[in-house]
Amino acid sequence: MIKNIIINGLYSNNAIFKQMLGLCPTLAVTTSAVNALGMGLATTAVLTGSNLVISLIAGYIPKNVRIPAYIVVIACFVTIIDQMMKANFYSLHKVLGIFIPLIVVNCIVLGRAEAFASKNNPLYSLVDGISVGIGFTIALFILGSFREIVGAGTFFNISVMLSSYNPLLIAVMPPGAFLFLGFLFAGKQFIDSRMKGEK
Amino acid sequence: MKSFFKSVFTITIITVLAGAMLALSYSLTKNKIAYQERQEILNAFTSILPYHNNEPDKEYEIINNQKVFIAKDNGTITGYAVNIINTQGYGGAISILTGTDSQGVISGVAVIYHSETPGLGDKITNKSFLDLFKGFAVNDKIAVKKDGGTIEQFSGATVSPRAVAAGVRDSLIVINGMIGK
Amino acid sequence: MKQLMNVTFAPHIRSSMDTFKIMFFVIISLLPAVIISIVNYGLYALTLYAVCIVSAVFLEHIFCKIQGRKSTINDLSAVLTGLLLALTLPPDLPLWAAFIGVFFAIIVGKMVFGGIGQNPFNPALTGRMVLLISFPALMTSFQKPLYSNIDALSGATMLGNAKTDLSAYGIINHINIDYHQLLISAGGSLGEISPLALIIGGLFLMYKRIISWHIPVSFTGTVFVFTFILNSIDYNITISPYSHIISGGLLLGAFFMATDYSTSPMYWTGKIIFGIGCGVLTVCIRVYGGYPEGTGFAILIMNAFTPILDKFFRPKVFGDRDEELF
Repeated sequence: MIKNIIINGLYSNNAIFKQMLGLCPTLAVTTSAVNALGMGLATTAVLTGSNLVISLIAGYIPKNVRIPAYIVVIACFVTIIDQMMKANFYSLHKVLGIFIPLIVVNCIVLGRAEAFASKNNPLYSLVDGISVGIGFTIALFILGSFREIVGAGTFFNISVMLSSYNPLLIAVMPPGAFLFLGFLFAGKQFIDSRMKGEK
Repeated sequence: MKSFFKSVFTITIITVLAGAMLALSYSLTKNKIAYQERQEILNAFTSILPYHNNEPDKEYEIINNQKVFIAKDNGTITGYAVNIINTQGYGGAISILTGTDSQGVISGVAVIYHSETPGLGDKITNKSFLDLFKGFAVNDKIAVKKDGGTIEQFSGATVSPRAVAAGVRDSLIVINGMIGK
Repeated sequence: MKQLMNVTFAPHIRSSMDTFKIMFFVIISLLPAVIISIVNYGLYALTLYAVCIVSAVFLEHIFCKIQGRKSTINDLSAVLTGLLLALTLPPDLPLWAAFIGVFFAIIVGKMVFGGIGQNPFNPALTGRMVLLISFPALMTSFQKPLYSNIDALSGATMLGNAKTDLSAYGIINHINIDYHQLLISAGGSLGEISPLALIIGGLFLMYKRIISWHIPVSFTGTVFVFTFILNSIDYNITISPYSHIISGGLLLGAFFMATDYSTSPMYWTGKIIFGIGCGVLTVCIRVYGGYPEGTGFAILIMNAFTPILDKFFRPKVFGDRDEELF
């Protein structure tokens, strides 16, 4: 069971590549590897916390007020993460800015709460939160590194291309987010279909 | 009716607990956040001004309707800074912070805010470009090469460097007014 | 490839025109402009054309092979896309940048949507805009044409200069348009070299009934009227309407890109609205936007409206009842 949850979260039911949830932060903050990693880990922290707490309290919440209750729990975690980041990683928080509070309405978080945590025991929910979060982080990180290397010629702010490299600026601009996410989806489909042995 | 009260009761408990959590987290991080925000402002001054140990944004005089921030080292004036907004940029206003030593010679320039074209005009935030302004004083000709000066404009963009040069020129005039007083 | 021609409304009368012939005539009509640009910019311009065309055909062929489909390079559409893209590039653009442009034009602009006739946006312009956004410095520095009679402008087009002047001095240095500039313009992209050659090519296409007059006329007409009004209000808002018509990619765009079959409306009312939209957007971007030239952006934006224009404005078939639009 736990193995299944992990595989589902990381790959076969990946939030970005398979469910296409949470695309707003995916498109907006993946201009560099650092930003993508920061956003991914912040979401993972929220997801883990909210999944655990919700699976603990789900049994006591009347059905008709469960969504408001979940949102309060999620918002509470997001605000705590927001304050922690601002206190300890000020420059990263400045870049991610508005997108941290917006994790509240990230459909992955509420989606996991409603679809998984409210129906499963705390251990499974905790594992699910971590693995879905890591899966999300990996997807963001791939896109962020890809865009940063192509669009700025750097990786974690360290120059990785020849000095004569002329960055393809569109990659770090908003249209590039859509283009490169499309390339990644196409790449994933290509790999999947090859793995199934289809032509 | 019973289920109604149960719902209200549950939500109330959850929100109260969440509120308590937030209050705790706020009190733990409050001082650190305030410190970081303060540091952010001071860092901008540190990067463009000579050594100082006061807080320049709290010590200023008004010259020509412009705030002139004064940097001091144990009470001795070491430099001045002026924040000027030049509206001649390609994409609109550019906010420029210019710092000088106590004689009015530029010790550093920073671009605080701009909306220039990505890849062209936004190179005005490059350190290598801003460092070109170091060492100039009010009587020097501060202009891009196209206008007969010495500041290297970058290929494809003249307007943005020209706007920065104009902003720096204006700042020096203000600072000079301060020194002459 | 016959289905491209069949996307008209009834009655379905076949003409002898097929995709190959249409593409062939469009290429022929562009040749005067191509030749004049090679004369002015020398051998490197020829290399640029060659690289764009060859890599366009090559990429389309490779992509078809990867997809396991029949190669579609024989209909000349890839050749035309490569040629049109080359015409929108500055004459001294490095070849690697041209190749990136072709990649985005052919693969992202055309093939991922299913090839010719399926693409919602003009492929050549898609390629150009990716280049413009990615390499603004390379894409906006132009060398002076060999036989141009304007000395005042070096390294910038009339539109670019107007913007720079306006921001620096608040006035515009108006340049009189004479006949020489109709033949050889003040410079810019390869395809901006000769307004006259483009007009002749466009008229040839209209004569051959490959394009209709609606889009070019409403497009350039709107630009003329709009800039005329702006100029009447204040002489220093923008350059003269005549300069607007002959500068930038306006003529190239209006005759050869806005009229692209798969990305422009089919019926004449839709075409006219499409042209007016292009014109208004072009002037807005040129006068108030961040980039000096807006024709490409304007056409791409209006491309997005093509499906809805086709839905609103279509001829009523005899006996047809009104149906719900959406």
